[in-house]
Amino acid sequence: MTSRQDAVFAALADPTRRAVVRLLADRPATPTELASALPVSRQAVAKHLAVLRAAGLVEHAREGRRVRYRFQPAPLSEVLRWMAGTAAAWDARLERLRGLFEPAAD
Amino acid sequence: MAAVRRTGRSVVVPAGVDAVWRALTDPRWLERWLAGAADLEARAGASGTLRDVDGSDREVEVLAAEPGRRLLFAWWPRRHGGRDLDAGSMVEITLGAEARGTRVAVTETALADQPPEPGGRALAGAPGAGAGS
Repeated sequence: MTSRQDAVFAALADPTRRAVVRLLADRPATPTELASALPVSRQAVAKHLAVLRAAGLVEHAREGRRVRYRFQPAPLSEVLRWMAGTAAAWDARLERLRGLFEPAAD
Repeated sequence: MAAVRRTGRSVVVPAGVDAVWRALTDPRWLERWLAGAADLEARAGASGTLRDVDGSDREVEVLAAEPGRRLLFAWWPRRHGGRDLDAGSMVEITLGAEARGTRVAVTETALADQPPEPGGRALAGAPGAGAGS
């Protein structure tokens, strides 16, 4: 699970891949359609899609001779869960710590 | 890697830096805010255990303890009697004097995302990690 999360972060560290994800979040698209919407070649789009697939952020379906990609948000929510979980835990701990030094309210 | 799982939180505690440092390093104080039970010495190279308020156990290794300034430790959930290495993270707590008390700033970073660096390298359970300073 953790190496998958690493792959998610690495995939999203690249601005072109983030742009690909944004486009696919709007609607599924073929590599050719993605390339026409982005300032990169179709070959470059194919490489970015391979990285996004490895991270589980996109999935693809063959339609005749074309391959259409769609956004797959599940791995992202895994990462967000880690962040939300640790943030909530520290908020609670720091609130207890602060409470230890508050003037007694009795 | 350009991005890591990292969480940052801070709070201002209405007390002096020395008093807050004691709350960070004395097990009896730790048990009142960080964990339900603490068996931990706040000394670089020390290892110990914390029982979280939810009852789960964590193994802790203290990497740096600079009195009144900074506490750095790594912790791992305990699973099957050992460390769950994949779920470990690094916690840095820094203190800073402010007009209204002491700012306590916490950063937790997933160890799997940690860039290799001196002090972070020997972590994953190396028995010689106690030699750190």
